[in-house]
Amino acid sequence: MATSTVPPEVEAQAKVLLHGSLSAGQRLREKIIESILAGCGLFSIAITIGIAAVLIFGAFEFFTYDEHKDYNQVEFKTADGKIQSRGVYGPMKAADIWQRVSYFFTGTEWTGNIEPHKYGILPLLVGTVMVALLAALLAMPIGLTTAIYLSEYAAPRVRAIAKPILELLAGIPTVVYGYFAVTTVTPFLAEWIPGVDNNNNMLSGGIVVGIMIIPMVASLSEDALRAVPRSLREGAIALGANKFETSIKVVLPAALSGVIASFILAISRAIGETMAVTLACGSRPVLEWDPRQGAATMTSFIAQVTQGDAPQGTTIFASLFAVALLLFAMTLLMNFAAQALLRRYRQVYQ
Amino acid sequence: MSTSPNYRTPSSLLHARPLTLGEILSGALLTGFKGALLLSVLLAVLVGGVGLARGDAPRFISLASLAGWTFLVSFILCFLIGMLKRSRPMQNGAFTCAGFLATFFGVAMLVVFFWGLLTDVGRWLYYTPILVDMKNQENLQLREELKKTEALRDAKKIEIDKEFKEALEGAGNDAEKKELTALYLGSPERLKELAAAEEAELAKASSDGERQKIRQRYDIEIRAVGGVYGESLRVFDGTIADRKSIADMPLRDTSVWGVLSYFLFANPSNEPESVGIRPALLGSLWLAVIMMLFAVPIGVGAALYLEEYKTSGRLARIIQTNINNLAGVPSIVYGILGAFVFVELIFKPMHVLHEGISVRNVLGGGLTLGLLTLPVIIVSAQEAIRTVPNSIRHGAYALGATHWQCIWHQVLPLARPGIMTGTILAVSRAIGEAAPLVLFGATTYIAYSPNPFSEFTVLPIQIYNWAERPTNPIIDGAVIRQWNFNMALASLVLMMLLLCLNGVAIYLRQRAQKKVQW
Repeated sequence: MATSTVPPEVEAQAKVLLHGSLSAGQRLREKIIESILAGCGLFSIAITIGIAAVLIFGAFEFFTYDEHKDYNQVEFKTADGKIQSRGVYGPMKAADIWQRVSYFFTGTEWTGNIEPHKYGILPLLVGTVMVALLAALLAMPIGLTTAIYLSEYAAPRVRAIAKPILELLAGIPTVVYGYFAVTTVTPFLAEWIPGVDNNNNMLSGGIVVGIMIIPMVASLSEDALRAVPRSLREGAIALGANKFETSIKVVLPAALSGVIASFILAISRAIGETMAVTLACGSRPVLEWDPRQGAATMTSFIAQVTQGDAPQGTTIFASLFAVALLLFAMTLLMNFAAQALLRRYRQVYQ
Repeated sequence: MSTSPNYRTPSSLLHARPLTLGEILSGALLTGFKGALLLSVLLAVLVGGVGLARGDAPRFISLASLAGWTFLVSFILCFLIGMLKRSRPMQNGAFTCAGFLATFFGVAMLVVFFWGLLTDVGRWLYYTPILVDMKNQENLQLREELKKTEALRDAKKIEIDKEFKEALEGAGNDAEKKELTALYLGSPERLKELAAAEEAELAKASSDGERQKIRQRYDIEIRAVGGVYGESLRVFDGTIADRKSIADMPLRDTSVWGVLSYFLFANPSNEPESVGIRPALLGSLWLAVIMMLFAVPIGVGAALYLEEYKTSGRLARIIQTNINNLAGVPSIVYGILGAFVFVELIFKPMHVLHEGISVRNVLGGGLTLGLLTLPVIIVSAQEAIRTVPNSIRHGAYALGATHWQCIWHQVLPLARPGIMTGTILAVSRAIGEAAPLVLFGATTYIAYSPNPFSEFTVLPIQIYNWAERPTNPIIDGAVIRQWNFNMALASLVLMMLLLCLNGVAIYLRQRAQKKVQW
């Protein structure tokens, strides 16, 4: 409504007058339609609440239920008369709950199906952070340079060619990126870098995810750079700055909040990426800092648990909710931060 | 410009005198020399120190060569940096090059990837006919053997016939003849019964092993009641039945078009040369349709509410922030939501009520994807509605239209191309998405055309499944990565589908831009 030549208060007045001239039936109809549309709008809030509720309840169950504890064992007779014990999924005692919560955040071992059962998030978290870090190291410089080039340097014709190609890169399905990682990137890395695991390694996962998020960094940063008013550039050029100095010392600082927002959004996308990472990095939940080795990330763990034969009503199945809750919280925080930054730079130039 | 951001004044530029080329070169040489000396000495001392601390005797030659190489590399780097630091035009030129290279890094990656993909597809086209031909040869051999077995059976039968005839002729009276008949033929009625029962059980059996067990069980009984005929011929009958089911399979077309159309229109398989993607393709299309029917009305409704009714205020702000955040939620989390809401809450109870509705069905998968793509659709519809100029709305109001009449007859038709473009982009995202459906439980082996209430698989999940197959065929001792080739071809099909959708979106956008000019 930015192009309106009618002042908003006049428009509101007119709407009230118009509304007054309607018949009762028409007014009812308008009211019903408005409430239906309001329902559509509120539906998106319902989705968020639904996600949060499912994850929080699932995580709560993970932290308070277990089938491996001594007091949750029942004895039963096998067919040949022997007495055996079996774990029953049930509530834990307070001390065990506390231990599970504290171990979840500080534990360095995740041994899902193997005795003794340990659920420490750090291996998965480190895998996720490593992949996101590698992706960011690749995508941030390249994406930002691309954005500056496209917004400040490129001729319209180059832009017209480069932008659709970048969009093409963003449109490739993630599972196809996984195929690229397995068949192209990993063999290449194994040939050139000593010590790279030829089946699964975090390096190839980071590289393909990085390539995947380059278009995101580039287009969001470019939007931010283009929103910088022309007068700033003209001022810099009038002072004798060349294009490079104008771009780096004037336009980039002015658009910095938007650029950082694009970085944050891209990293949050890299954290949430699943299929490519699962195919490239494997699903071995070990604490691994070496990017040449494979390790599970939070997302690949979630995908793998549901694919395997872990039935519902077991601790390992419930653990995926806790992992997903952490993932959700991380991406939500990053999104909030990015939105706040974007709002700031939009306010500056309006 | 009322509020200016904090940017540094480029004060360093103001009194700068451009350096001459000689100054630049000599300065850069000096910088390069200094930097290289510093770095190489530092590295040599560091490595030597670490060696000493470990207790190794420092070897002068290796340290010197390390320092030499470091000197050379860091001299080049520092020299370039020194040049760039001293010459502003060079900075500009270098950055232009860097920007161009970065921009077309994406293109280079696309070329590398597609080269890999297309070579794998090419290998698929080369090897699949060979593998299919091998399979066909095996099949032909089996048919040959089957024929031989049948001939043997016939010979045996003629032999027994002859024996029976001679025995009958040799028999003295009717009682003896009856005894002989019973000896040779057994009891035909009981035999028929047993055969029918066996047939019924075989039809129910699901695996070859099971079938063999059933046949073995009946072997004993049939031999017991079948007389001489049954005893001698049963062996052949069993072998023939075993081989017939395989040998009866039609020989496959080994031409390129034949194998391609088999790939597109056949059901999946455990053998890498006879896989097909029909159920996955149909599943993807079903899901896209259901997702669209669900998400587009709600998404456009929400966009209308935010753009036409509640343009400002607390609620609008909350909804808007929420939508922006939903767009950033990882897709796998939507899978958890979908698996809980649609599987646990809706379709599990419905499955109890009605057998035909499976628990993890197409409808639930489509709705899950609908939740996932809703933010995309809302945002693009909002943008489309925002481009409709206010003068159109005012004109409609001036003519006496109600708010909804204005929206329905003026705003929506004008925003339609934008909404359709956004929808198509959302659909292409949904078609490529696999993670939420893995969580939803769509990884089952499907050998039929799915319907809205049946279980399903989709193309990305099919590709993902093939990634973990260890058994590749071997031709002349060389392993053929046929599963990878299958992945490549299926990926190509998937991307062709997406490309078509995106082409439609681009066409719509351009037509709309041409037609409407404000």
